[in-house]
Amino acid sequence: MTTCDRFAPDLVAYLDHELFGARLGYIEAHIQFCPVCQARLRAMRDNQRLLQEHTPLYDDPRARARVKERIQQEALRPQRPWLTRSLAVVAILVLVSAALLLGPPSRTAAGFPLARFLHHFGPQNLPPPSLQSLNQPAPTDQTDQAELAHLSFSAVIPTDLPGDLVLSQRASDQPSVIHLTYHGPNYLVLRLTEMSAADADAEDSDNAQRAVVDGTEILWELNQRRQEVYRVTWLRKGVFFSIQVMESETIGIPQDRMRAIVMQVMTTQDSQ
Amino acid sequence: MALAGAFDRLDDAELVAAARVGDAVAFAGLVDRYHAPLLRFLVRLTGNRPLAEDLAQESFVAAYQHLRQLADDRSFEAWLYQIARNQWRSAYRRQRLVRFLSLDWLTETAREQRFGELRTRDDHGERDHIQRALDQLSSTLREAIVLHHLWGFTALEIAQMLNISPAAAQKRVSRADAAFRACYRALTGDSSQ
Repeated sequence: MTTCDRFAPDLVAYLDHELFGARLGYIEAHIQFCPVCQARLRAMRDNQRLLQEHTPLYDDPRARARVKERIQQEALRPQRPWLTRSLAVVAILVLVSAALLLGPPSRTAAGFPLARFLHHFGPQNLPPPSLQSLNQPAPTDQTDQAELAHLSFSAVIPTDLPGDLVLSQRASDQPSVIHLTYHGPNYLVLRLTEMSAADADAEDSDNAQRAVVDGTEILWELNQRRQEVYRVTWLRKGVFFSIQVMESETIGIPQDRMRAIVMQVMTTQDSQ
Repeated sequence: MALAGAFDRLDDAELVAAARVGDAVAFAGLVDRYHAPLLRFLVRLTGNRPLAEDLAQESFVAAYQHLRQLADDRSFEAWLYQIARNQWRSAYRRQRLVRFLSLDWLTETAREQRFGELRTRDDHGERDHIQRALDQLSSTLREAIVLHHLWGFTALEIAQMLNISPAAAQKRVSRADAAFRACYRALTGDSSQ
């Protein structure tokens, strides 16, 4: 640590021509008389030159052609207009309402609209649906279930999380990692990634804040504009957890709600 | 970069506007314009050419699918980068990229000969050192230095992309630069200041 370390970020701004007025004059004067900052600036320019000169521009016509081919395929895919989707939603609502009006069909499915619907409109040769069968994971989850047996750590898999977030997908492409996807209202999608602590390497972030939940230190990454959480990580009982709001870092969820979600994961871990 | 064809004279905003109303050929103009620099950027981030190609392709497809979400006042280039960055970070977390000197650099020689860009063996050695030094940085720092030093974004632009403060971006670039320099010198045995 040198006395000039505090000028290091200014050197970046100086290099970017983003210093103006008095600040620019001050930094320029400092650089003129400071051999440490002169060397830093020189090294920074050397690094820039090194990276640029020794990283070829990959002008690969075949790779580009493959991208264009994918774009053409995307362009040819039929787009569902909003009207079609709206009509589909209305049709489902009408069918479910009809099932409700027909009354409870059986003891096991009583009070459960989808069960009633399946009883009245589903294939007649299937046994009447029960709440348990309706709560079974989706087929993709069942496929992944086999892979979960190979996990090298004890995964924590809450079926739902506070805020009407429901587990919609599990995936594990290697023994040390599992990804759980939760869908909630308003298109909110959360990804809970868990990995063996032995294989985890913490990433630093200037945007992160520390907090303690249930005796465990967690790291929040906040959305600057809206002061909402878009990512939270923690290490607990040999498992590294990461919860991230999917799709965009501009979308976040309130801190108290994320805290409740973290609590739920911890409680699930404690109970297994 | 010079473009062949009718899209030479159109700027990004005009190509985006045409692509938004279904003109896939206009979007292909954007692919022509940004594929090479995006691939360059992703190769340095991942250290893996085939993976970088996949990520570049997925980034363009995602950009095409979500083109309507691009605000009119926002640069397509910065937006495309942000998509590519998200693709890379997802892949990074998903696959826990293996950090070793891959054989891609060897196969690259054959490709470059084909494209008439044969380089000397010394240059490949330099590139290996650079990639190995980058691989030793955390993903956050690697991203910062590649964005700033290679892509040419300023710290202010990086701050907007990463949704952090300008001061944090400057600090991150500065730390990344110092860390890269230390790793590179350790690899090359350079003890100069």
